[in-house]
Amino acid sequence: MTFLGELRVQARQENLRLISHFVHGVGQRLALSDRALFDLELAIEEAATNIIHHAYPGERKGHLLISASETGDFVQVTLTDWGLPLDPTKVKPFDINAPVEARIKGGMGLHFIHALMDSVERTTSAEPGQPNTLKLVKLIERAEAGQSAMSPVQELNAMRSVSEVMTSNIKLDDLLNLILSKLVSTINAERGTLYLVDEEHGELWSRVLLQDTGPLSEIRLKIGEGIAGHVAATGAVLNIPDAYADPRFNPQFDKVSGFHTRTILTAPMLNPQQKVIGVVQLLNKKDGDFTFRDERLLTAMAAQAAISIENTRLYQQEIQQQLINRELETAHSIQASFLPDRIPALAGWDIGALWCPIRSVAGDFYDFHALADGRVGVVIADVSGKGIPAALFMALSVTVLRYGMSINLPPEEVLRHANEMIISEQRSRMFATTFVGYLDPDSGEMLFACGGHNPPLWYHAATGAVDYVTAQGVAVGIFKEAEFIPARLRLEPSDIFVLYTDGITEVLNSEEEEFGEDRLEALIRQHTALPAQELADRILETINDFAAEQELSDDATLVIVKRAGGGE
Amino acid sequence: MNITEREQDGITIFALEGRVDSEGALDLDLALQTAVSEGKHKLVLEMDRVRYINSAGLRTLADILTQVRAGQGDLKLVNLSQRVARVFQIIGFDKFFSIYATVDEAIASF
Repeated sequence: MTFLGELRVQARQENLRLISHFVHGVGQRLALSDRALFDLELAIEEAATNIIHHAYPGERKGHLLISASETGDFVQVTLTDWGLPLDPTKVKPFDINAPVEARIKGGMGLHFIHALMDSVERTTSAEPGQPNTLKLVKLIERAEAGQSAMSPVQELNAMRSVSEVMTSNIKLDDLLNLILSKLVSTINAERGTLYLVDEEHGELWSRVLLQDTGPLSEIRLKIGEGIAGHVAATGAVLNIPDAYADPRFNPQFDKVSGFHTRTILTAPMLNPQQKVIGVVQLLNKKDGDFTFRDERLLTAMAAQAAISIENTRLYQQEIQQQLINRELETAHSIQASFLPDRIPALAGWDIGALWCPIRSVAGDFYDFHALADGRVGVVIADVSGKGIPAALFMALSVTVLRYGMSINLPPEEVLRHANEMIISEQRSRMFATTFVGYLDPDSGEMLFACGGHNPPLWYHAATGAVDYVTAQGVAVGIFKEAEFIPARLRLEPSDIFVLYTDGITEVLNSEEEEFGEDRLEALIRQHTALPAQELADRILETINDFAAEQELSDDATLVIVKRAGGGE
Repeated sequence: MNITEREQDGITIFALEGRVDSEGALDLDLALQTAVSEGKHKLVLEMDRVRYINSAGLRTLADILTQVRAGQGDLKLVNLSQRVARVFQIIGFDKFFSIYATVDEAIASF
């Protein structure tokens, strides 16, 4: 068995193009006939499409690994995913005799896979997250000998595909070198330069120059300036039989390099969308002038080169993205480990909490802390900013708040201490709105302090009224001299106390309306009988429905404290 | 993919070029649905420069076929490449679509 290559991508529709290029690379290496390559491509694309839609439905995300090998007379391609396993009872057999309307419903992809491949084997895991594989095997039918003499364009195509197959971390510079040397030798020129477009500056810059060019390590040209710049601006090939007779030619380059330029052939590198992504320039045809045939050949090869350059860039971005995602996943689990392991179980009380970062990590957090005297510290906080900086600041904030509680400081002192620590320890000028309450489970009394946090909502079961409680203070981490004045309240039987961050109340719907406190109140009144955790989940569900198509823009965190009814 | 549209004898002809893969099927769907919503129900597709088609593309074609036939029209295909014709056969679509060798024959058949 010979390993041919493998490709690992995010299972997303946009990556089907990369997959298709990968399959072409495999086809080129095996010199597959057009027909065999077509069959292989169709079967793999259908299989990949099924994985994208069915193994990772909706918001589910994950990887798709495609690996190819050659075994005897067969090519074997295995697609692996880590999503939902296929449920064989849900697969309807494709009915070749059904009317056309019924046929478009689905099952077509699987029918193709089975019709086009010589063998199809599937393994499904018992549960989501474990690998599922689909092994496709096809007899290798090679292109006829007559067809196998490749044109220079095909050769370049093969080279790029092979480079994609062989390694997913090919360096762009190596590829450009490979391309340029191929162009120079095919067209029989003395020298060549490959320029890429720098869109930000509206410039061309030489990415590779073939052969030792001495001090000319990098050339930068404005688009529209000089010969290469002119080709970049017009997108048309330019054949100059006498360089020194052309006013666009800059003899300075010859002076510096000691080279004598006679003839110049310059072609744009157009991507499939006909956008100029670079320019390739060949100097001095070895035998006479550049011909019309050379112009056409160089144009075609430059277009192939453009595709391979774009693909390599795509690969690199994809890999970069994978690395970033992996780091974010790690950050998420580290951050989640800062949250309390479990919600305190207190007789006569029902407590629920949820933490919903908008990205992998959040600036919100909640905390519970058992105090030495039997009271329980309840904390909610919202750190300024989002993403990684907010997550790091959250870690600092959690630590200093916990320290204050662990040495039995009263709530206002916990905030004062945290404020001082944060101001002296960090220079990033971040802050956290924070609420700290100490609940006495026996009396229902809560002593609390508030550092500029959204006032918690207090539902009084006896009257049905709703209050917002607060105490004097400002967000932690802003003013060194900040004062925090404690306050006190008593939760009566069946009362509900809701601590939340603004990610709950400031959610916008498609009309740019805020969810607001009124809707939150109404929701709580409607569900006073629900257990705390279910109420928290219901609130999150409701704001998600409210936002509908709008993406949530802020982290959302909730803590719900319910006192049991009088009879219990 | 590239799609160009023209009219001849009250029939709308689309010349297709490129790959009718999952991405191309979206372009094709947009072009054909637009025509159907403008009340054009007699459609001809020139397919000779289509190099590849997958189930997403076939689904689009079948969907449009159902719609135009409901409006007393038809969707006729011209000049399928060998590879595309084979895909039609595997899935049994050759029996549903009227396929012609030239645009003129397709137009004359309406």
